[in-house]
Formats: sequence, structure tokens, C-alpha cells
Amino acid sequence: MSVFPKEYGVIVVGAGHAGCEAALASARLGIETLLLTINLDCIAAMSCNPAIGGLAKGHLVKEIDALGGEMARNIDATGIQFRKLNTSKGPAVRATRAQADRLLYRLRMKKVIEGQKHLDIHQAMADKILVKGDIVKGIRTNTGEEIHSTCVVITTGTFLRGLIHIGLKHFPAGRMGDPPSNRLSKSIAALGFEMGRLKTGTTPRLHRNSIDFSRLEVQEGDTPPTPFSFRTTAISLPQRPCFITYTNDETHRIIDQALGRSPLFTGKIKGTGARYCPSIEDKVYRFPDRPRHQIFLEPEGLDTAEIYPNGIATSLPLDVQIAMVRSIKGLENAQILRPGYAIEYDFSDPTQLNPSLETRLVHGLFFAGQINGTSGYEEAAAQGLMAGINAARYCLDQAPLVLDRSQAYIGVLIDDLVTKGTREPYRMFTSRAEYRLLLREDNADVRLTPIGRDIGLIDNEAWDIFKTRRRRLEEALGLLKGIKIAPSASINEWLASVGSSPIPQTTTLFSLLKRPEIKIKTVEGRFEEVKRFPPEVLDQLEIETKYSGYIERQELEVKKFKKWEAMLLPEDLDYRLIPGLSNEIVEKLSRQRPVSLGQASRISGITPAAITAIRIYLKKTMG
Amino acid sequence: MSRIFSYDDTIAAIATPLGPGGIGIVRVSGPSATQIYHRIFRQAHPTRRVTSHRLTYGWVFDPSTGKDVDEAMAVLMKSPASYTREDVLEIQCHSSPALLHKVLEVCLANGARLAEPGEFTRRAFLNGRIDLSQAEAVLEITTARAELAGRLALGHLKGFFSREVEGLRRQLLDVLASVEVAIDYPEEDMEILGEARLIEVLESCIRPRILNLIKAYGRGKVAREGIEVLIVGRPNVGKSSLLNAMACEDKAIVTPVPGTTRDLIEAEIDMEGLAVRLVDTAGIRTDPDPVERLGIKKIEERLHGAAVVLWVMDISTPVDAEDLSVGKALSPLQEEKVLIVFNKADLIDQNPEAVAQERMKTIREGLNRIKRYSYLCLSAKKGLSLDRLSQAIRQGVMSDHSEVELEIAPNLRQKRALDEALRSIDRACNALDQGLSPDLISIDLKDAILALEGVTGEDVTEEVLDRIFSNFCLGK
Repeated sequence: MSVFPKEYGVIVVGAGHAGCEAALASARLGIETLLLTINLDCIAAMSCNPAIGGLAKGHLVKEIDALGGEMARNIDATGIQFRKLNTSKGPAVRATRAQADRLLYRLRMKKVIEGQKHLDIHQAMADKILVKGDIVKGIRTNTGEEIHSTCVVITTGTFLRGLIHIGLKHFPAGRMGDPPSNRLSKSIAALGFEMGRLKTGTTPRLHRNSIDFSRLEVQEGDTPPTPFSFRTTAISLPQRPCFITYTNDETHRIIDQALGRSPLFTGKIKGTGARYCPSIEDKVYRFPDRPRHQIFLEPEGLDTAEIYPNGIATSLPLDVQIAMVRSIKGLENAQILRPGYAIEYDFSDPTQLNPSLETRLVHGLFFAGQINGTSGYEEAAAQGLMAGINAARYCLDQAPLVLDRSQAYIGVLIDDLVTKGTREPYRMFTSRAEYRLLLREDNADVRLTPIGRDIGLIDNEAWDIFKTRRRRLEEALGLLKGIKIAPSASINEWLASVGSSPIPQTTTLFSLLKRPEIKIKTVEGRFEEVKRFPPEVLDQLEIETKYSGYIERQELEVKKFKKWEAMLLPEDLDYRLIPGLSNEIVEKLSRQRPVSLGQASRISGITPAAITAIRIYLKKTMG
Repeated sequence: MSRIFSYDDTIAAIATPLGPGGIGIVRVSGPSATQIYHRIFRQAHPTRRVTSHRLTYGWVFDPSTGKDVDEAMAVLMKSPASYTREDVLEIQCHSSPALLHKVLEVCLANGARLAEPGEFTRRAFLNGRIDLSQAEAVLEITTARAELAGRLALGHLKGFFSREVEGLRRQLLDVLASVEVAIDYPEEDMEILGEARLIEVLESCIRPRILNLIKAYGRGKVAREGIEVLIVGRPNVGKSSLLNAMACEDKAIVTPVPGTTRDLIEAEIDMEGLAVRLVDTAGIRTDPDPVERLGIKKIEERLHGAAVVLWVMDISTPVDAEDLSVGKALSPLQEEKVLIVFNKADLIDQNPEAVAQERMKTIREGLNRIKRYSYLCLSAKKGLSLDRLSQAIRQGVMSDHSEVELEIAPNLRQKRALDEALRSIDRACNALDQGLSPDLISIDLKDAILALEGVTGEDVTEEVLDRIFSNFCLGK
């Protein structure tokens, strides 16, 4: 056994999307940080689909950016198609999604990490978490080296006892081509963590030249593409389209006949998959009446022939995969470059974490990403960022940064995990956020950049960009409120022409914009001075004006919510002493140790009566 | 900010209604209950050991003076086998208000404090002995004035109402889910409810069901709280004998106690399951003296609160100016509320119906207004046709009630929550009409669901709890 020559503030185990954000955040906060990875060539690998963002996920990416994380800038630099989704479904649920050049994405992230001050990278497999008492001391690698640190952040993705299934064959792997991490999983369980098993899957990859695109529906990106990062001014890579095709009766028949050779349907796979991200065999089995399922053919990059057929994740045997793919329009001669597969892996019940993502069992030990039961690059990156920030703050002896449910999707994500836990891979949805109208992509910077600046992750350049944007928003608002409009034949004629009623007395452009039928675009046509503001500023302004009624209602709700969040529960509270709590509730609360009455109320099975009883007890004992 | 009750103190209250009666009970709950028993109760057999849940005979005395207060039976119920799950002491004494207050005072002077309204039940709830819906049902059963109200509360205990609300909630959740799935899966190729269909489901499936529950509130209120029937008329038409006759006829005099003013006499009766408070008023005259004018003012104040106003006339004498001045006083009321009673039908030889029609004509002419009052003839003194009066009163207030509907009738708190749900649904429909986006519609739908959750107590906030518990009468 040898001891690594350098001692670290933070060691991050795993260089996926969570690990990269964690390592960068910690190093950028000035903490000596080490990023450990099993394979240096797979930093920020996109093991599943070559895309970032989408509904609620795009929101997460913008929030990561607003706090000073890397994901948004990385995709902006390597994206080959950008689209705004849900443009017609309302301001709160508009989201950005981008196709990535898979190779460029990981190369750029590797470069950023290599160039980051205070950050070392090292290729090794972590075998054991070193703990003294209940304090973390570092890790031991598979080559027997001990590396000491104040904090350890575990971001192991699907690697903990990873097991790949293709048909009825299975073999240990962390991802196709990389070894699993078996001893680390045992080391975590040995520390007393309750572990569970989850399953996820991916699609076969197809050769571009074997696909007949001429018969398929094309889906182009937006022009011009809108970036994720508030700091990106333009998208530089050439843009590529996606294509759409569908499964059919024949596809479904092939799948149906092969269910006896499916590891999912024969019980080989024990882990729980996500209901919202099912394999194609699951979809066909559960929705027999659906005549077809949609497939997006997504390019994996500019310089690769690989195509990702989004929508047919499968763990059926290779011969079935080939037959199934070739039954689909446009794919009749498709050549499979890599088979689809399912992977099972260990995760740790996230209710064992504090909202800072530090484990309650071991001080200085943080978990982020799939180890906490989530799925998705964005969910992983968001947790990685917060774990990195809080590990650094732990080293600096600062209070953890915890975002609440009214501040960010990141807050919703982490609160859901540590409060309710999860039984299936957890994915973010906009409907998980009760204050959705306040948590928009467009205002992520307003919500979070001042916080990022406070903790030291937002540099001067980013801060200046933010301040300029905020100033412009204020100026634009001032302008709208300043333009007085008196009733006149001309103005009422104009109003009629855009389908609106005449104004009875002098009003401002601001109040006019509150009418649902008056859009900022309509206003731009008549009031030239509005045009000098950039479109994103005007968009945000329009949202804040037009939906002010709803926004105010949500803000009122937030006030009530904050009141309960502010009622803190003492860390050493003995729930057994509280009269009126059932044994089951006492056990639950003692195990999960919620930080506030608000959080306690969200734990499943905790009744309003229990909350009242705790409150009464606290009043009595603490005055 | 809601009131916080603390647990470590002992509460006391008079647990039975105040008024002359056989037995009155003072109830004490909390850790000092046993101590209070030993301090203020002298057992007839001092050597006998106190056993939980066994009545002991003796005297309540005031330790500060050493004097006996009352001869009583006392029972100690040790925690947790008691109503509140705390130590409970109940003292059964003679039911004079003065005496009960004295016993209560002695308890308060020896370690208890006066209970807040509903605090015994609140403690039972917080100690996990009963759940919220049971707590509410306790409130309703203990205050149920008559059979109908009891049946309604029982219906709630059985969960008819909760099931209906839960069904609605699920339907709304389905609608919300279809809105949400379209938001979170914009790229998915699937059939979702269009806006027109959404409005249709909300307006024709969900809205009417909520409205139906809200409408049932009015009938539920009648069943729960009973009704007030005001008896008015000029002097000497037999109002008091009508009250007495009705009270006897229905054989269930509850409390014929003198009214709050010298002008009103009240009696509570159980009219075939419906709780009715009869109020006999002083006669209204054309030329009242100042004291009488005060009395008339009192009557006018009660007119609007009454469910039915019986305008009593003497059928054996012609309609006179005084009768008509009564009619004028009634003119602001809805005509369905007024029932004309031609009393003393036993004093005339002609067919009462024919005479009544004649009198009605005079009334219509005399009042100068077309009011279509219903009327009937009876004799309070001889007890003739009293059953028809009961029938008419019941019909007037419960015209379209059926028992099934009664069992789902909400109470006031529940009705407010339903109103709130209805408002949210209307807002959602409005927003859909205006073409607003689904992320905004979903806010209204969620509000509606939250309101319904408040109805069944799934998501009750402490404010609601406080309101529920302060409705409890002191001591229960």
C-alpha cells in the first residue's frame, strides 16, 4: 500500500456529467480537487442519446449555467442542432433541446477540465471509501494507493456492480466497453447505506449510409439556433437535421414473438426501469392498441456515420434487434454498428442524504447523479454541481448551499430525492415543480446568478453579462411604462386591426401588453423604439407582463411555502418524546431527519396531524 | 397565526349543556387530573382505593374553605383508555348552572385551566385517538338537534361524501394529467385531449357534480341546524296556543324556555326528524306604544332569519286593520316563506275553506299587492289539522330533498372548499376560452384539486384545523 503524494480537499470519483460539474465547481471555488476516472478517454461520455436539454432538462441546464456550471457552454460549443420546444404551450414550459456531436462534447469537456486550475485528473478505479469514525478520509484505488482528502464526491453513474444484458446473455460492465466498479459498491454498502438496483437501456446504433433518408420526414433545427448559456453569443458548429420514422405492425409482431428471449420479460433483469423511458418491447407490450411508435433518427456527430434511433431502446437479442430495425420504413437495409442493451446497477436510497447531498452516515461524503437514483445527463450534472459546491464549502467551513423548491428545478430535484426517495430512475418533469411559472428558462439567470456570484462561481465576465441583461430588462420595462397612449382614431384603428378593443382613456404600452391578444411582436410593428432591445429581453418582458396575474398568485403560494421551510427542526430532535406520533411516523422521521417542518410535511405518510403535533411540541420545548 | 395549545397542562370544562336538568358533568383532562381528584373529592368511603373507570360516590369540596360544594359521583379514566388518551376525570353533579360553575371553579383553582372550545376533541385527535373526519363527525353528532342531522353525520362517517369528492378529484387529476403529459412530452406522437374536449369535460362532467354538492349544502344546513319558524299576528288570534299545540302534537318539547326578550317565547321541537325552533312573538298592533314598538323591531329582525313565518289570523272574525298591518310588516319577505294560518276554525259553522277564500280576497285587496301566500285552516285549541301544518312547513323548507342527497351534503367548511374548487374550474374554462396556454390552465386545475383535497382533509392546513376545532362546543 502506498499513499498518494498529494492530499486533496475534494476527490470526485467518476468523470461523467455529475463528476465533471462537481470537480469543476470545487476547483473553481479554490479547493484542491482530484477527478478520478476509470477511463480518461470517456470524460463526459454520452452513454445514451446524443442530446442535451428538453422539457425540464433544458431548465436544469440553464440553471446550471446561471450558477456557474459548465454543461450549457459545453453543449453550445458542440451542438449540431438546437430547438425551442413548446413554443405554443406557454412561457413556463418552453425548453431548449440540442443534439450534440458526441465526440466533440467529451473532448471539449476534457479540455476544460485539463485546463482548470486546482484540478488534477487521474485514471484509476476507486475500490474503497476510507472512513475514520464517521468522517471520510479519502479513497483507496484498485492499485492499492490511498489518496487522502477532506471530502469525497461519488458520481459513479451506472458503474456500481453494472451488469449489461443483451437477450438472455449478460456480463459485468459499467457501460459497453468499460469495466464495472464492484468493490466500491460493496464498500458503500459496508458503510451502512441501503442500496437498491435500477435498470436503464439504450438503443442500437445504425450506420448512416445504410438508411434511406429520402423517404423520411425531416426535422430541422431552429434558425438561428438559440444557445443554452447566457454567455454564449453564437452557435459555431454547422447544423444537422434529424429524421422521423415509425414502427409498424410487423415491427410489433417481431417484438411480440421474441418476448420469450427478453431479459426484461423472462425475469433476468431484477432492477426497476423507468415507466417514462420504456424499452420498445415494454411499449409494445403495455400499449398493444398503439399502431405505431415514433422514432427520431439523430446524428451522433459531424464526422461519424453513427445514427441514434431515439425510441427503440431494447435489450432483445441481436438477431431480433436486426429484424425489428429492418421492418421499419427507411431502415430496411440498416446496419447495426452497436447493439442496444440494458444495464442494471446499484444505487443508494437518496433519503439517506441531507439536502446538501452530503450523506448523513459519513461526514464529508457526498453522492450525486445516478447513484442517487436519477436518470439523465442534466439531472446528474445538476446534482454534481451542487455536490461540488457543497463539498468545497465543507472544506471552507461554510454553510451548505441549498436551493428550495421555489428557487430552481435543481431545488425541486434534490428535495424530491432526499425527501421522497425514488423507486424508479428519477427524471425531471416540469409538472414536478409546483411554482412552474416562476421557474422558467428565461429567468434562470435572474433567479440564480446572484447566488452563483455570492458563492464565488460567477466570474467578473459572466457577472457583467448578467448585469447588462438585467439593466436592459429594467430599461425596457421603463420604456413600456413610459410610453403613454392617448385614445385616438388612429390608435383605435390599429387596435382593431390586431383584434383588440379600443382604449377609453390614456394608458401605457405596458398595460396594453397585458391584453392576451397584444403580443410584443405586434407592438414592435408600431412602436419603433421597442425594437432596440434584443428579442430575449422582450420575450421575458412580455411573459412578466402578460402573466403577471398568475405570477402573483404563485408568488403568494411561495410565501406560504417559505413560512413552513423556515420552521427548522433541531438536528438532535428526539421524535419519540413527541406525544401523539405513531411508531411508524417516529421511525420515519428519525431515519430521514427532515431539516424543516416543510420538508417533513412532504415525506410520504407524514400526516397533517403529525406536523401539528411536532409544531406544538417544539413551541412547548423551545418557547 | 394559529393558536398553539400546549400539552402539559390540564384542562377543565362543563361538559353538559347548561340548564336545569338532572345531572351535569364537569370534565378534566391532563396530567393533573388524578391530583385534582384527590384534592377536591372526598370519597364517602375514604379507605376504598380509586380504580380507573369506576364510579365513586362522595362530595366535591373546596380545599381553600374546606366546605362541600356538591354531592357527586366521580370517575377517573387513566391514560390511554380515555376520550383524550390523557388522564380524564369526570364529576357528575347536580345540574344547576351555579353549582356546575362552582365545581368548575374549584377544578380551576386546583391545577386545571379552562379548556378552549373543542380542546378535548383536539387532544383526542392529536393523540391519535380519532382522525379528522371522525373529529368532524363527532362535532356533528354531538350537536345534531334531530334525527335528520344525525343521519347526515352518519352518512359522512360512512364516507358517502368523501367518496363523491374523491371521485371528482380523480376526474380532475385525469384532466390535469392529460394537460401535463402534453407539456412534458411535446415530441411524442400521441392523442391528447384538445381544448374543446377539455372544456367539455370540465363544464359538463365535473362542474355539475360540484354544483350538486354545493346545492346540497342548503338542504344539509336545514337538516344540521334545523329551522326557525316565526309565529306572527295581531293579538289574541291564538299564537301562543298554536305554539303549545304544535309542541304537544309533535310530542318532543326540547326546551320551552323564555326567550331572550320578554316579547318572544321559544320552543324547540322535533318535527318528524327536522329540528324546528318555534318562536312566538308579541302581537303586532297598528298603534303600538314605545315598548311595543321595540318588540316589533325585534320581530322584524327575526323575520329574515326565519325559514317559515306563520301569519296567524282568527278565522271567526273579519280581517281588520291590525291584521293588515301585520301583512305590511311581512311584505319584504319572499312569498314562499309566509304561510297564512286561519286559526279557530272550530268556532265557525260554515265550511272553513270557503271562509278562508273570502278572507284571502280581503287580504289581497287590503295589501294592495299581489302576493300569493299559501294558507290553511286549523284549530290550535282542538288540535285540528295540525298535521297539515307540519307537512306544509316541512315541504316548504325541504321541497326537493332526498335522503341520498342529504348524505352527501357538505358542511360550511366543506362548502367553502367546493366553492373554491368551482371558482378554479371556472377560471380554467375561462382561460381555455381565451386561448391561454396549458401551463397557466394547469395552475387553475391544480388549485381546484387542492381545494377538493381540503374538503376531504387530505391536505388540511392548520388554519383549517383550527377553524374546525373552534366549532366544537366547550367540553366536547
